Amino acid sequence: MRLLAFLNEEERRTFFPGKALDDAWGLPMTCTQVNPESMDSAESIIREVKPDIILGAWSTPQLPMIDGELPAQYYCHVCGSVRRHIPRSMLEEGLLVSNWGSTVAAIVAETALMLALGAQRNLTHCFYAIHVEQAWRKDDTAPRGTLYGARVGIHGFGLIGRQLCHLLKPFGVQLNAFDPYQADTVFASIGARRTDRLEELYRDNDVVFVCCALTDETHGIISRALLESMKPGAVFVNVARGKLVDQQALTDLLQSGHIRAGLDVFDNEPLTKDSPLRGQRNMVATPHIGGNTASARIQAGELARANITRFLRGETVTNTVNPEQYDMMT
Amino acid sequence: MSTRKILVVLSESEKSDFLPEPMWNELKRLVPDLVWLRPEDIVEQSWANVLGQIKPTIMVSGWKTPPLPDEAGLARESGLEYLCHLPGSVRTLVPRVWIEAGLTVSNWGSSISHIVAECGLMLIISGLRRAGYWNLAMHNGPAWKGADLDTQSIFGRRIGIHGFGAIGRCLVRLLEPFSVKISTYSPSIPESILEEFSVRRSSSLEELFSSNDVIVELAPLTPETTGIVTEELLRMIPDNGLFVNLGRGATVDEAALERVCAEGKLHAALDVYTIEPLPADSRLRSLKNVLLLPHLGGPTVDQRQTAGAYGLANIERYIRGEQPESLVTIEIYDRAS
Repeated sequence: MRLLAFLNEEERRTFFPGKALDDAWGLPMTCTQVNPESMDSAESIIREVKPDIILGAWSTPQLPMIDGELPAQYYCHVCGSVRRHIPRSMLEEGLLVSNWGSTVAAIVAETALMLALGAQRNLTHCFYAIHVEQAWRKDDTAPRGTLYGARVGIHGFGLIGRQLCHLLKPFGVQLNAFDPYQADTVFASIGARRTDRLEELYRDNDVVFVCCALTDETHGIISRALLESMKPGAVFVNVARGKLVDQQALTDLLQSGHIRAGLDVFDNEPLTKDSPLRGQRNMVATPHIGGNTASARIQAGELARANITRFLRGETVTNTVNPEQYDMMT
Repeated sequence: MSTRKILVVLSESEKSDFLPEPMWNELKRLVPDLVWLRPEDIVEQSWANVLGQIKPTIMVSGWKTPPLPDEAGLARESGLEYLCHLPGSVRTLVPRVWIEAGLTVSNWGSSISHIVAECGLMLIISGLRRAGYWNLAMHNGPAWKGADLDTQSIFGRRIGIHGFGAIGRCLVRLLEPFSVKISTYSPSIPESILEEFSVRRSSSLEELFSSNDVIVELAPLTPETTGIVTEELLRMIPDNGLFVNLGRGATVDEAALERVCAEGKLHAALDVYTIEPLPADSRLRSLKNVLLLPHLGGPTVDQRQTAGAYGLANIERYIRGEQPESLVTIEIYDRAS
């Protein structure tokens, strides 16, 4: 068996720390590592290596067909969305594909919880007062809002949204969720009330979490009207994708003080240096690090190793990607 | 009960946060003979004059209420029977002589512990995610993430709690979904409570600090716990660990904490300090691996009325001739922060 890893230096170091990958984890296969940032064409390398398995991450280029054949039997993607790395047609033709599955969903949900708590407690006002202005309490540093007993709306009830519910349960929140693609039983099993209209979800809750995928249908779905309908002082949290939201409207509503926000994602990333969102003190912000912790990467690397081992042994690979899931990826 | 007179000493905002209109009306219904003074009125007229003229038997106080004078004579003769302090600690408000003289004092007890625990969870996650650094870098400059992130998740971490009172117990409930391993050092807590909360007992502070990724400081401030968190203990926390203080600043050797954090291997998230307000030139304010709040762990503004309602229920008990809850006895007074 031959493994071809398309990883840049940072990905290799953070997903597979140490030298384990150099030794192919001691598995009966050869391992060729190529840094996509310093190669000419993926096609020539694939022709040369003739891999059975390709291991990839964010820096991996779009994989080409080789003389009308799949480039390998198995594409093991160590992170989430594979849309930029393989066309849908490869799945249809039988390429086995896996990704980090749900391991990261819980960590993104944790980020969402952190951003909501921070926005409710006016964390940015506090940080400015303490770290920038060498001050102490001010009127705007007072914590306003608790998750205890709050009405919570979850927009998108996939893995992240459902994980988030588990983290919120000890607060005794009222869970309301919107997701037209999930069955009633999914809502019932988590103990969330299904909200059929997005308008209600935004209008009626104290905190709204955006956890849905970015697709052609959801692009810009969080409109100015939805944001305007939120309760005064309500908290808007986005850990999904910036392009789901009318960011100009969001900026306006933060500037007017109508709502507060916790944002890990923005419509253009990196967030532009002169973005009016920077310095907006009723917003808690992180630079799209929601699922991206050092421990999460190691965990995802471990999952990839386990899956490659299963593949070599002829066992069933976990966290595989099917065409329907592919369509929901961002 | 017509002889009872109540004096409320709260600032405008304390009155509206703790006792909004319906509760204020309820208080007036309970004790119609009510006088409301602002903290500055007391400063102007002095406690002796105010108590002498108004002769209240019950008083309601808040954070901004000026301290009662440390005078045994006034404490014995003022006629004040019950002090219903709406927030927590009465140490700065009530000198010991007042309690010795028989004044009944109550506070919010553990009625807001869950809110402090919520702040604790926020500080733990934010500290591990370096959210203090990233949030400010995003706002106060053009930052975006670089190649190397040292952010951590709370899932699966080892968490050590020093002091396992009401706040610690609420915190354990909030931590349950994260599959963390929790230990505590709290010698006075019986085994049955640790079992109920599935918390492991550490046999020493040294063991607690050296075997956990996150330390949450919740010990009450007493003569024995002052400065109990020494430089030696702080250095026992494993590299890249996090120290969170939600209790009282003076339990920690703050200069040592500054030194250890400045070396970069220990992160900290703090709500409390030895001196409050934290001095403007404190080095803690400028450390990138330290996240600070201005002692705001207590009730969020919307929860202050929970504390108000708790106080109101206590006043009702007192009037009915029952004992208020969360009494600050002389023993509790001596132990409290």
